[in-house]
Amino acid sequence: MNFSNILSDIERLDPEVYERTSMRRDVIKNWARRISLTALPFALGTLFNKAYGKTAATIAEVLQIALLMEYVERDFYLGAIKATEVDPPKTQLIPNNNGLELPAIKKIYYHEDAHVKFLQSVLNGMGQTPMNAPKYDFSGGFGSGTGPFISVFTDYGVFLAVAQMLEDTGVRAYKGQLTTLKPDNDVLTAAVRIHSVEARHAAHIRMMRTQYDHPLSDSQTIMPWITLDQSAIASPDFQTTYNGEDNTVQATIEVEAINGQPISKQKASEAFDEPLALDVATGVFAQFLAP
Amino acid sequence: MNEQQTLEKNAVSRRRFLGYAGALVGAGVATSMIGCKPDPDPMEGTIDLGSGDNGALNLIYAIKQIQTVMYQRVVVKPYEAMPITNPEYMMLRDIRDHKLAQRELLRKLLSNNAIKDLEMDFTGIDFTKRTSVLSNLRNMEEFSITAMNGVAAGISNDAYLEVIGKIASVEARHATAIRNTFQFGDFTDDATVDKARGLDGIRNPAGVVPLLHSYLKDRLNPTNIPTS
Repeated sequence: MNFSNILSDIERLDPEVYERTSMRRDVIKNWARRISLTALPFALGTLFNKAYGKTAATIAEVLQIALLMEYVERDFYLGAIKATEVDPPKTQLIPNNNGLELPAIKKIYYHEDAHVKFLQSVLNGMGQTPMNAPKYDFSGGFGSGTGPFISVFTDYGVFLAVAQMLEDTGVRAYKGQLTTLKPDNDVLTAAVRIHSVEARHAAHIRMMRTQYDHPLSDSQTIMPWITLDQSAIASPDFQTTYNGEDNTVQATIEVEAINGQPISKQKASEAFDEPLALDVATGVFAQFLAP
Repeated sequence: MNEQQTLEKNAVSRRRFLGYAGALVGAGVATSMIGCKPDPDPMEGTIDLGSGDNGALNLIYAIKQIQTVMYQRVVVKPYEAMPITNPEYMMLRDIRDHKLAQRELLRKLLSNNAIKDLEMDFTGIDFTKRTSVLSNLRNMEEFSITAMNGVAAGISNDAYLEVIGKIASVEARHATAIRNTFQFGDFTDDATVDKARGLDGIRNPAGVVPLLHSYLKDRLNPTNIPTS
């Protein structure tokens, strides 16, 4: 498939999209400036400064940021479940086409809720006060309510795409902190055991997108894994999460055609997920926070 | 030579070339013999997976060897006639490619510390039955995830920890793909991810190895692999 045609198609429909998008990428990259740090709980503001400044976070700080990510995921899924079951919806968000949609989202929601409780208990056990749940803007507007995902709780395709982004970002974020957590065996082990669950979520969300008629997809097939740096989502607003996933060098060894085997660059990139820097990962989540 | 022959050629020719002595030299000394087989192949001793980081990597390398050959068998001769454009077939072939990439990366990373190419024993799998194939593929995915979660804290080299981490999440994606292919929606259950904490399973190497033995003629010795 011809990816550059899709890019030019998007530009034809909206000539200013790339101007907006590069501005938006800068916004995500510089999220700490966007959020009013004084409006956030003290602990959160301090953490954001540190993550933005790329100073290595301490183990406790990594766990606080992980807790923040789990809050966002948990309450994102809760919002979707409410938009389906509780609030009288104009359109029921999660459809009932095969009967498996809502049970899956609930399964994932219960896991994220369990992660929240677990991370709170780990932090308490370390003598740290777990941060409270933040306030949210699930349109992705940093509290403006007018972000690019404004239809996230009315358009199932958008909802699944955002879910995929959150899960894939979470996987990469945990993966990026394994060496930071290494000095504490118990915390490291807990982190890898959450990390693989998030990857199951990410893969399942992707497979759910293949079962839906309008998954906000470009013409790339949506697989449970990540190919090169492709989001497999027809919008540039998700790309930050996938930058760097096209890496094919592992521990200085090139995996493409390794040992003379027929491994393409695509397959080499799919076989290994990549870490994401803490500040970049936090930025992806930060767009869903409100002061 | 087709792909399967290429993949298996290395194992067969290396074993025959090195012979019995090579099996001892390859990756650690055989610490016990498990009786003789009326078979031209050399007697199989216990293969020491090694100590330290090499032990952890060899455990995962052993898993990748099993998985690569298993998926390769399925791809070369699927349980049902499937055109190569069939989504189920394409998924299995993609996973085969991933396993192969991961196996070869570990082989190269381990270098002289790599265990030998293992002899598989797939007599428990009916490759003509979809349910048998998928359930055994699923088993190996789940064993692998618990194994990687179990060795992570024992790894001392940051680069090796990163590599295991990078494979572990892809494993979880594979597990989801296989489980959903078997029965869509069964991507996790309370036996896989515990309800109270949302944590994935974990096994130490001594718990993983007996499970791998059901797919191997060789016997693996994990006793020197650290878990902390």
